[in-house]
Amino acid sequence: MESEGKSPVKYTHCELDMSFLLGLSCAIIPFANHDHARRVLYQSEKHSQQAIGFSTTNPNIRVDTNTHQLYYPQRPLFRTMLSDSLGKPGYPLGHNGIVPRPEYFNGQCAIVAVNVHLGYNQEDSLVMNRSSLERGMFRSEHIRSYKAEVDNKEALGKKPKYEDTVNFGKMQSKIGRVDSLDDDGFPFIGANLQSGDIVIGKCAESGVDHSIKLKHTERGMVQKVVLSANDDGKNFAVVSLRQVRMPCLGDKFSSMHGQKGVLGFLESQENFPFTIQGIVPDIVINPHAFPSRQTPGQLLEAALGKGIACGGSLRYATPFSTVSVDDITDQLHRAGFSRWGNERVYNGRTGEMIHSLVFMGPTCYQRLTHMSEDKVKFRNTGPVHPLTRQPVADRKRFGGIKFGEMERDCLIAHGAAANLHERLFTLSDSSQMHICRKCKNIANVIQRPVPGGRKIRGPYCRFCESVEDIVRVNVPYGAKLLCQELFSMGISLKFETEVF
Amino acid sequence: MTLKTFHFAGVASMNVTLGVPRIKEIINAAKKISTPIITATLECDDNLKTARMVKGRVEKTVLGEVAKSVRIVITSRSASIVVTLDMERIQASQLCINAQIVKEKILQSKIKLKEQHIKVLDARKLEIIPPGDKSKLHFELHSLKNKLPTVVVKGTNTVERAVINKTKKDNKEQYNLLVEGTGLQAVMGTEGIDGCKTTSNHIMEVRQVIGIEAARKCIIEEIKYTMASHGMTIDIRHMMLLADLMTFKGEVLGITRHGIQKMKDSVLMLASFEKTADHLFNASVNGRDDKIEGVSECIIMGIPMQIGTGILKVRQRVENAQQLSYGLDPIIQ
Repeated sequence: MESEGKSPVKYTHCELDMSFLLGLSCAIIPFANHDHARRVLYQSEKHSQQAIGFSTTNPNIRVDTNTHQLYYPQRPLFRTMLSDSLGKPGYPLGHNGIVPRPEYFNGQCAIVAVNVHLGYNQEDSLVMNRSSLERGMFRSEHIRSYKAEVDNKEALGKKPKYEDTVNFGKMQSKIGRVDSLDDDGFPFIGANLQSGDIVIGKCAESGVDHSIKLKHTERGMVQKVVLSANDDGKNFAVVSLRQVRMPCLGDKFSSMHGQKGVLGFLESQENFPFTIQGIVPDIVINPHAFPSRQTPGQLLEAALGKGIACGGSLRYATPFSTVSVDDITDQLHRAGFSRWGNERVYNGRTGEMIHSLVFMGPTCYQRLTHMSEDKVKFRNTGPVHPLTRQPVADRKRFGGIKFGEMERDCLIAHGAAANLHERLFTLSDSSQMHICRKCKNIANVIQRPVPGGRKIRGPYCRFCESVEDIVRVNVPYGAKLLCQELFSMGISLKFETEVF
Repeated sequence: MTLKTFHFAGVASMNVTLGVPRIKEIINAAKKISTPIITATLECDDNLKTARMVKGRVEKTVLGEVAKSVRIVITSRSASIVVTLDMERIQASQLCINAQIVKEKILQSKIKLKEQHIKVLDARKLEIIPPGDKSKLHFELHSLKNKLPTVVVKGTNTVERAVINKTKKDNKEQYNLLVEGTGLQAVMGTEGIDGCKTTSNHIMEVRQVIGIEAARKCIIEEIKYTMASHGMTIDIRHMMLLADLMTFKGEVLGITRHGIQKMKDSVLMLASFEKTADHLFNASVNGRDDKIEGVSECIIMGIPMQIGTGILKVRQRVENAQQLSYGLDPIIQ
């Protein structure tokens, strides 16, 4: 102001723009004042934090345990008052001013059609264009770092026992494959690691293996290996693994209006309905998502974006600003499109004209952190709990999924007795138990001396002190455990058996 | 269903528990519920005056409401309390109360008086001589004077109040009586009320007064009413199943750990439900047998359950099975 040469004007009051009522993550949402408040809350609190974009400016130097980065971030077509302030400070803003770099925004502009598509986008799922994904849309890379520590002998001073010193090194390990490691115990840069490989080789002088192994869901290519020491007198090493993820079925996406959805189907470009100009949608969202959620802001954003992409001058979508629906429709009409954003489309498979018009427009979509690859659970047989011999619970430890009491009730209601038996017995903890038919107690398997000098291992009933009449039954291991625990309390269970 | 709603059942100022708390009361077979209501059908149901008469008979009337005065009379020879009844008011409300009835009611009440302490002077007056020694006379007199107006002279004392409810049926106005409180037997026996069409929403009371089949029907009606007032309709068979399950042992058992204990006698099933150690210890002390028949026990012991497809086992008929002999064939046949 002072550089203009005039004396500074004194202000007593200043009026703030109405959109300053909202915070940053909310004021970026276009037409937020047209949306239901709950959807605006979802977007600004949850989805903007879970969106994948550019989280730091120095990703090559940092070693975080888990980061994501979008390959091709794009600036949305619309602008708001507050999103302009993300640009370089000190420059005058406006139509000729500097707009913020696309890395500030965590999304990409996709052509969105509001249509049903073969029934694959029901209940909040989306149908996406496989060809645009193959061209790199919404592709992201994920970096995961593994840390390991080793004592630094010089810093400690005293000499510990020779066998206990742990070093980084490569040794033949029984717990995993060491093919990708160099001699110093670290993998070479660019090595492709999969589950079951050893990431950092650590071994003690005595031969005990402390290596770090990849879990069964993790894999990637080695990006960076860092060796350093920290103040506690320990050397530590970090290995970063990089993974590129193209969107696959089950990955979560969201528009900027709280309309989240999961990818339901990847359709080829030639099967989509196309417009006169040959434009094919990238994302097809179900129209049922709009009535109960009340987010006309997304439709206005798509209509405004269409006008801007054709060179229109109306660009601001600030909440509480005065861009009216009439202005948007006029802009579209001047650009040569239908006023209300509808398009005449033709069937991609048969080429016939579709009688109803389809609403299409560019909308800013975000890819969220919840991906199906991180959540998929599968197991055939695997680790069991040592006490009850039932499958363990975690996904990390290759565990199973709980079949709870209510699920059991559902199978009972269907009368599916064999299914329930299989689920809760055969696939869980089936085992055998010995019962003595004379005294009806449980008979244990012990090693006993036999006349003749040898020792045999076999079932033996201590009450009757004989081996005749002992039968073997199939019971869950939990039942055998219950019987033995009650026996230790002084309650004995007697079993009546019959020949089957 | 929202958690707690009060629904004004057609009559202003009448509260009925609805929603989840009511379903909990029904399913737990609660002995005391928060709003017990008896719906009584009148014998003559289109006359408001007769309805009022029956209401007066059912409602709790205390001595203080019908007595014109309760006075302490102290003469040189004796000191007593004289109760004068307000006959005009009694006639107006069509109750039949006279001094004799009042005397019986006072004797039945909690005040410690004996036959000889109360003297009926005439149809309207009673004289009550307090017992005890002369030194505490004043105290006795005053305490009696405070306690006498609370003696119930008419109606049942478990009834809090009765309300006349107007319903429209076939373009005709009909009245029925809604009685808040328990005491179904007394209400059914009241003159002017059709006992065969009177019902209550308190299931334990219905079981006690009318019987177990009526209690079963009452459970079904109550659940239906609660669900209907939230706009939900359930097929009646589900409620019939629940009501049958709760009443099949001859008394109404709630779905709580006490009720389940009385319904089933399988040790393993009860031990897997609640109070594990107690059931196991008691069973071992009494030497109980558990036939592995129910679903929980079959799952514990690893046997396919015996309902649904487990109801039958398949046997295979093998015709002319070969008798195999193990060993060498005989050289000489």
